[in-house]
Amino acid sequence: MKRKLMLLLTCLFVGIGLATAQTQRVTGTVTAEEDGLPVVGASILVKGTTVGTITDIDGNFTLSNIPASAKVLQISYIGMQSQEVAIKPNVKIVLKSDAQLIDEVVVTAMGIKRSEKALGYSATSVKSDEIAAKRASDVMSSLSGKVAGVQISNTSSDPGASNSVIIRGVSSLSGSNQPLYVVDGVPLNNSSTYSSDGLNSGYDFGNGANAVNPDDVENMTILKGAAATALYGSRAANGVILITTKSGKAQKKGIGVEYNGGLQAETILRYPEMQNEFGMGWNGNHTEIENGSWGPRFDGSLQLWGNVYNNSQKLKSYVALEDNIKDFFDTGIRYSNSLSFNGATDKSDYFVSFSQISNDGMLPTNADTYDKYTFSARGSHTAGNLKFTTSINYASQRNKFATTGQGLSMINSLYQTPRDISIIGLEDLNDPFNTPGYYYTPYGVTNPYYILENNLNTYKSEKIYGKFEAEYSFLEYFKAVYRIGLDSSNSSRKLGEPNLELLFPDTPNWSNALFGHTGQVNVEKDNRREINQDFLLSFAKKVSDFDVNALAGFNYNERTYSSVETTVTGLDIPTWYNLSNSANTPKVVEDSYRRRLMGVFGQIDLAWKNMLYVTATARNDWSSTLPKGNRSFFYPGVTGSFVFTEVLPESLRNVLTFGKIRAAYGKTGNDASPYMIDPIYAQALASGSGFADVTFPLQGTNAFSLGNTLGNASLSPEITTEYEVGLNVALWNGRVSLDAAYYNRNSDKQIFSLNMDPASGYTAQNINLGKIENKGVELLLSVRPIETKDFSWDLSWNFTKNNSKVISLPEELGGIATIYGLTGSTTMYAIVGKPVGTFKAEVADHDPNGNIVVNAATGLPVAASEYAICGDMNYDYEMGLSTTLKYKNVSLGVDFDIRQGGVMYSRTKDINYFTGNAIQTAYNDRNTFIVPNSVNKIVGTDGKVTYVENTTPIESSSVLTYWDNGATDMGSYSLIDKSYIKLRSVVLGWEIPSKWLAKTPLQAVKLSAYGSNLFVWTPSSNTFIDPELSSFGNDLSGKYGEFTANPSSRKFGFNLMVKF
Amino acid sequence: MKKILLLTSIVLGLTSCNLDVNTDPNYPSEVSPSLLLPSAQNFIAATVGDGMYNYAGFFSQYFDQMPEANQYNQIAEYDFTESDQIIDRSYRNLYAGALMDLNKVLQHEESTSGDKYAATILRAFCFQLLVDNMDKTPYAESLLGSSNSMPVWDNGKDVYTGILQEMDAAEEALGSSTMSSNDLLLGKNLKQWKGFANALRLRMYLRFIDANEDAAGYTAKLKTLVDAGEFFTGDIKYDVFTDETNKRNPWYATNKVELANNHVAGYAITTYLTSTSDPRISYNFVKAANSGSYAGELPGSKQVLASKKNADYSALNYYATKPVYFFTQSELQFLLAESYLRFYNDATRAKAAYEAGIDADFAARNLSNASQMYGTGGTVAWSSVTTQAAQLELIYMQKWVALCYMDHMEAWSEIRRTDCPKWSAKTASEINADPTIYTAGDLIKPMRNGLGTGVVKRMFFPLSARQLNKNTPAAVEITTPVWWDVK
Repeated sequence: MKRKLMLLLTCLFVGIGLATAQTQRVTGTVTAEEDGLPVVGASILVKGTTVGTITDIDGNFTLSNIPASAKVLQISYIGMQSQEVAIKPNVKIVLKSDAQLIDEVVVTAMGIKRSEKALGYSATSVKSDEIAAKRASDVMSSLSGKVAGVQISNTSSDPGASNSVIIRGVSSLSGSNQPLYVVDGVPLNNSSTYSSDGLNSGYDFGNGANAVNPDDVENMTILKGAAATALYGSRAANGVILITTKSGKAQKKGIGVEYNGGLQAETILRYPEMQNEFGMGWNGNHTEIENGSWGPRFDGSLQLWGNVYNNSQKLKSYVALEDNIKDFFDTGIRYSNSLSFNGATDKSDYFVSFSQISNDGMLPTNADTYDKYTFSARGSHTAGNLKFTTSINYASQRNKFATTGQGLSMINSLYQTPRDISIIGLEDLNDPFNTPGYYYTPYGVTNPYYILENNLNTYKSEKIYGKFEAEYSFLEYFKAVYRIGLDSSNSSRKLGEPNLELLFPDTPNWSNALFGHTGQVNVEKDNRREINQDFLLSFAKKVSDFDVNALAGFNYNERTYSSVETTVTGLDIPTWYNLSNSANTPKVVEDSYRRRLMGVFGQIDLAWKNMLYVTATARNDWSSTLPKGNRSFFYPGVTGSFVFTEVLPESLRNVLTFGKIRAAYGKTGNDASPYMIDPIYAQALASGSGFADVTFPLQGTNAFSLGNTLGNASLSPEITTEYEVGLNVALWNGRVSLDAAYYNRNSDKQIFSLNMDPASGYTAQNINLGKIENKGVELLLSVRPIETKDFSWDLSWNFTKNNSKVISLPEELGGIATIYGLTGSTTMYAIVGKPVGTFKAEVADHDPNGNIVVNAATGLPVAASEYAICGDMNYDYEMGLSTTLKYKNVSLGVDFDIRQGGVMYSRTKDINYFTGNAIQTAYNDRNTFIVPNSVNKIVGTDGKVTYVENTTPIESSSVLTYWDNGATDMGSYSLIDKSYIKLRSVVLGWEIPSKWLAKTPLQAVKLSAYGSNLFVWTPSSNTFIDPELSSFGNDLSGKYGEFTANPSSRKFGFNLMVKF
Repeated sequence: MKKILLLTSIVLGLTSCNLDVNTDPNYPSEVSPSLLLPSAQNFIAATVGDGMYNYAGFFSQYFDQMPEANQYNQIAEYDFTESDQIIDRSYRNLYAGALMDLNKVLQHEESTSGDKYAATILRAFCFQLLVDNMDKTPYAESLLGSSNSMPVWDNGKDVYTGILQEMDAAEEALGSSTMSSNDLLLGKNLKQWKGFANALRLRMYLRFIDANEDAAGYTAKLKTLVDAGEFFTGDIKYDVFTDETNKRNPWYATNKVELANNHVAGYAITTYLTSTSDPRISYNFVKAANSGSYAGELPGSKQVLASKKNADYSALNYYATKPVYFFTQSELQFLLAESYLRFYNDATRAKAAYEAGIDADFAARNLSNASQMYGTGGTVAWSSVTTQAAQLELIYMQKWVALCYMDHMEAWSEIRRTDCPKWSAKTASEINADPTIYTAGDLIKPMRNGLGTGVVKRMFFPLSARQLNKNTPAAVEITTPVWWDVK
């Protein structure tokens, strides 16, 4: 498709020489080395003349009027390396792909295709083979660590979980920081489905963009800055991922069918390192029912353990089972198939695809699965000046997720297992000792196998999205486009927990662990719909050395959402999960919203001699979510670029092939969430302790309570202002290239629900509260050190450094606003002068010399009276390193993803300290010890504080308390360094030489073996988790950390691609 | 511009271009007062029946932290700071929950004087709780929303004065009005509401008198009140719970259901009830599994006496539908008994009220034959003591017994006001080594005590106020008494 379009463009620029008397004639074909396909629209120029032509649809050309003196033909094509060949009657030219794509055509806002050198801002284009090579289930995760300025994280290794994509830092404290996904001109609903309460029954069923089949994607463009995205309006304030899907092509050979089939396995990658010296017990003593390893040192003796059943009890050797956690996990299996066929005539084209993914993750049983089916049909038809395009996509998914968090979750139970208990020995649920009733510990956990077998947590979703588009060309230079897009999804989520109280009466665990676990069924059904309409009028004309492009448009967008969530507890049939299965009053919550946005926009591009480019954009939005007086907001942008190599002497251009400087300035606005203006009343409930609500109706009486968040009738839109400057350089015909950008983005008037002293009557108020700055550099350096006929080696390094800073918050609030936190624990804030997402946590008190203050009576560290800043969520820098080796038909690609700095909350660490399983807790053989460099604080009668050296050791019975309190870090111990280096992917591909296939109906066969997330290296202090994990969703609050998330996995697989 | 938009929309055949779609369909923007008052009652119940009920139960030594669980170690060991946010949720429930809904009732044009009267009494009750916990609390500048997001904190005595005046004013405005609002506490019975108001007055007057703040004036007021005798009958209780998720007694739901038990019987109360052969012990506790007898845990001992197990101590006798008590009849009777004795010098009426107090508590627990306690030969018979001081102690001790499992916040306040039960001169370790040196009923300082030898006399200010309101006073140590606790 792209090459054909270029045919049209090239026609404009290639002068056709006049015939002269003395001529020679040349015919030839131009093919691409990459795929052997003809290159359509390649430019053929007789060197030193203006005589030339372009190749036709078969890659053939004929030049019949070449001056007899001419000796050399120059063949060029955008995106490929130019060649010169000697003139002879018949030539065959194979063009090599230009490694550095210095003149790539990029799809920009509103689907406008531009030569990359014309761009005044940073836009990264990714081609289909890069997306498809890693065989990820979704379109984004294959790009982790690949694109400077774009942080892509897999928030969970659970099948089908969501991705977090954050471009150029977090700029909104309360709204979304995820980019806008636009598929073929239509915004895609990317809402993610995860538990709003990450603490209990956590789950993550993925985000909307996962519905896109990676094999359908022709290319993606990532637009980062405000100037690049402004035309998409307020929703594009966090960047835009433009996805262009494949369309039908005329098939020269074959029937246009492509098949991909793959098999992938996954195994556990990272779980906590555990000590192997101490086993079941508490406070140094052996007990038979503990959920931790605070017992005596292993001595190999035989010990009774667990509850008594039928006068018998289990016996175990008191030795460490080093791999008891690892052995619990299985090998996950995923198989996938996708099939597409396409074709085109000169008037119409079509593309149809089907894909399937079936994934059972690495947990035993099928409690973690993901099945996805996609179906797409697209086509266009041209009739005179009119072109109709339509596309319809269907995606269906079904997930199961083993819930995470505290309480009776699989993972919480797993981590609270003493080091000497065989976990796989718990698998037989017919063994009474393995049932919750007689499980060996009553302390808030139970058999993980029982949970996986009996708890239900499923999600089903169906999504239909597509568009209808009509394009009308008129008066030579004008084009009008009308496009209507629809994205509609229905999903249902169901959670079921058994009535353990009813199942296991009169068992030892009944009164403590199982009491009150009367089971629940929770069903949520929701419906989302987005309608988007665009009307565009464009104009394109070349006037002498100027190219003029102009565009004006109107956009209408409506988003609606509705859901009903019903919960019943007290199941009468203990493991039958249906809402009818309870005599209790169901709790029903209804939620819905509707929001509308309208916008008008315009853009003017001016290009002069392929050298100077200027673009101006402007958009005005009207949003329904803002107060009437503040509904309208306007934001302009301007960009420019200068290709300075155009003015350099020829001699220099042999080295410096291409050079461009660019600059951009732009604004985007962002509206509020719906319903932040007016006061509301909510059905009343109260919770005295945070663990249990008392909810109306009570005794047949209903009640409402004034909402705790104060609405605000003077909210105004958030405005982001950004400028960026950049440099693109290519040396030695692209063997070395550099793309560098510096940006500075200010997001002002953040809309936020700011906490208030409850004595004001409210706990929060919606306000425009402050300003956040993100500035940083993005570098992409690509080198091709070796290039021979059969062998090439590419290296690429990308680097991102983003500095986030909260510039202002209202002064009277003390310059601090809570983002996310656990009650009485570590909390993530926005603090003036600090990066967004700064953590404050409890730390030990220190004397002025930096010694730790401990309690003179117990020897245990004493907490400082104030929480202290203990780092922030932001990486210091992110880097990606990629290398690709190609030898003939074999290629090997290796990607590393490197992220340095930042901290996150980890309950996995927390719980492993609590249980004494963490390797750190074996410190000093758990003998009594004096905290190193500790002092006692003495307050004299006059209030004067002095410090003396501490001589009180920590009793061995308090060693547990010491670790459970976070050792010398106190509460801040649950913050871990989230730096890592990941071997993100290794892909080995082999394309069967085409000559082997010559006599078969096959056009191409490619075999590949790949691995992703194969290894992770973390700082020595993080012996706990894969720091990419999150339990709090894929946006800002997700950066808080993980709350006993399921461990991460490594994946490896094989794929077969066949084209007919 | 709008016209162009509209026109374009029509041309494009849009469904609607109306941008006035920002009214929340999920929540009403206005409700009648009748739907608000029960919400306030529910918030208060969550506070006195769960948040405060829990920590005050530790401070009153009714229960202690179970040895094999850890939820409340800090409270049991008096080892918490402002950052631990022990009171934050109660503070939020009272201000942003109860008091705000009550204010809406007071401001609502559909509210009757009766509704406003009931709302005022609950408002007074909320502020009394806040003052008893923290001494100072925002009052005059509270509940003003964004027009004063950082209210100044008022002195506890001024708050007491203010709420007494508010109750007087609402009573004057009452006339013959009735209530229109739903009322889960007192079934719209304004006579009972007045009785509740008078009981609150009696409670507060005694605190003014003991604080020696215009003692003569408040004694006169107390006498007028007692002479009029217009107090409530039965208990002021929030009796709405059923054994279902989100409908249970909140402290039960938290501790029995969600946290799978964290409390065992306290040493002081168990020993005292045993020594007085009080049948109420079986209402409160079950016998320890290991010994088959009632056994309480020494305060703050769980991390010191590491070999102790849950089965060594008496577990609590919970039930899901237990009401939350806002003011018990029994406490009222004991306050009256104290008043008769101190201000009327009338031992006869004091004795009658004292016995009525025990009767009322037995009745509240569905127990009969209370006279076995105070009748002839009873362990706590009025006749067993003679001096006024000893009679007062008898009243106070029975009040401590009667508030156990009923109203822990008030028990803790009354311990602080009356200094009864008194603090044992023996340490927990000494008592552990030799239980015979202990006088049953004496409070015992925790074996591991974060306050050294101090005890909790108040709560820290909420961390949420500290962080969000620069007018929050500097932190005060929790060993510092509140204004009315001068003894």
